[in-house]
Amino acid sequence: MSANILAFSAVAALAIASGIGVIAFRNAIYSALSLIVNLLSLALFYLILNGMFIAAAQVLIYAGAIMVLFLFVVTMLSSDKAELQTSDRISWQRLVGVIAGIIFAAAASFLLLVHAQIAPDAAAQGSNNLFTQISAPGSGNTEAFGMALFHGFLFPFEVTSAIIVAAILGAVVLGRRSRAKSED
Amino acid sequence: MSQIALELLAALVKSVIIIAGLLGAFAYLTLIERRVLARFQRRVGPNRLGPFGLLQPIADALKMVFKEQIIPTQAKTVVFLLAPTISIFVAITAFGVVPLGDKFGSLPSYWQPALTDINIGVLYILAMSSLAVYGIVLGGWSSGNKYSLLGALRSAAQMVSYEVSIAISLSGVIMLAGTLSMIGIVHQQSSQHIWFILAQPLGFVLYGIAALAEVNRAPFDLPEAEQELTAGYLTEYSGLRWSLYQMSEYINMITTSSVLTTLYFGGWTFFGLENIPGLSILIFIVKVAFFLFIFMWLRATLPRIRYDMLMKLGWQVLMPLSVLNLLVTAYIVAFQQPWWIAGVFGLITLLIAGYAAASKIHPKKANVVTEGVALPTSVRLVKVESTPSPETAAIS
Repeated sequence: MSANILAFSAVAALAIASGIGVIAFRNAIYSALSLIVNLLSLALFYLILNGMFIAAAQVLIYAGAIMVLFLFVVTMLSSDKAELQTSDRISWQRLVGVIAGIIFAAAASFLLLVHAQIAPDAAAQGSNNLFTQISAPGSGNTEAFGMALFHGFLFPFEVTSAIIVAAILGAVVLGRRSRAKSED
Repeated sequence: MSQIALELLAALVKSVIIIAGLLGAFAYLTLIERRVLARFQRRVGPNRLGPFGLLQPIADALKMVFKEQIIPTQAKTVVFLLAPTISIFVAITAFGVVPLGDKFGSLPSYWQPALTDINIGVLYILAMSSLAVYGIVLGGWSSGNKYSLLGALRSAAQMVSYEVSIAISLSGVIMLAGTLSMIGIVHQQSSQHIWFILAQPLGFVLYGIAALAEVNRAPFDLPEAEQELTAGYLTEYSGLRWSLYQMSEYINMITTSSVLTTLYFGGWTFFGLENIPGLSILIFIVKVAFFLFIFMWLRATLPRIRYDMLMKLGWQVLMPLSVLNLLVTAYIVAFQQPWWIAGVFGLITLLIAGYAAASKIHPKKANVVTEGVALPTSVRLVKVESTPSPETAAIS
């Protein structure tokens, strides 16, 4: 158990440090790199929780695909400039940020103080214990994940895929229109 | 407690053996590749140092160690130093789940010749190799050189595009096997009495092509295309850091060959020969070496393809075909049809695709020169006169 806590604290420190790095670096590429480290440490959290499948998916999708595109765009845009210009601050941004931060900290500390646990309650409510199947340690969590995705949550899954297809089509349409305009 | 200590010891010993083996294999792969390429090009290749040039890799390593490692003044030093390390780390880590052989009889399971058997093995390899792009992108960006940056951007686009086809074409095997574990897939092949290449010829070819692009090997080595980009992301690297990049490329090649062997060619099994103790590892190594030879063969044979052709191939050919393969395999698995339906379908699709590609490369009207065809400026059309000139007529 103590090894678990040790691993958790190390990964948590990494996650917090990289999270601060995302907003603290003035160079966009270093921010992107910090975000990658942050996403990888999230994958490590999943591993600590025995969620091997979700950890691999996290690395594959977020760190391996999405952040590569981020980095692609950022390196292309800011290759010759050392820093991106960050002067376009909104005047009320800081005030709203502070208020939102206070609300978030209060909510998180309240949940911590009352020892809120999400998974067991949801498992009690769920009809066929999908959550307990997914969160079961050790083998079979890929199967449980697939069962949950394609039996329990099939409708949300399909709706999500429809939304993503719509987004892709939108991007294609927008890209094509702008190209035609630039050729004219 | 002693059990855990033993398992840790086993893991440590196996890791050291695997890493040392990979590095040794890298060193001798460079030699073998040079010799093979030389043979293809009717040269001799490096054969001076020791018998058959066997000491050449040692000499190369010594040379690399003592070379100066230049850091350009425009480079972002930290990232520049970190990037090759990321590459080699990811390459070695990805190999971790590859099962090298069957377990030895009565020895406990933690001494079996695979570092680990996690139940998401294939996914783990995909995840790790998807991180490989960072080594190249960061190396190219941090060099502070436009050639390097262009190579890095090409590499990022190429690897992201081909990853999609890789994942979809591999899922055919995963559905047939019903497991993501590498060892489980080998066991499934021996219990179903087929190698999955028979049921998945299309998936095999698609994965082979996409994996070739993923490891940036010829004919997909655009990130380091020397005619256009000097050496791409490698331009500013020298000495050991350069050889770290080479090392990760070769280790990625070995990993890809191992995946091909494990998923499509039955891993360490070979018609019952694997039951002789110790022979399973040898069988595995021979199979991997076969695919490595094919990699070298392709490099010696095929010219590098153009960048727009690369993107077209990835998105318009490989991805639709791999989705088709996925659909047919899903039909087989869901309705419990025999595996050969998928195999025959895959072969027919491959034939059609091959015929289409061949007729595109060698169109039937190729020798008819039409007016107004857009040709590169380097090509000049020579008009051949229909009537023979008086001199040739006199000779004939």
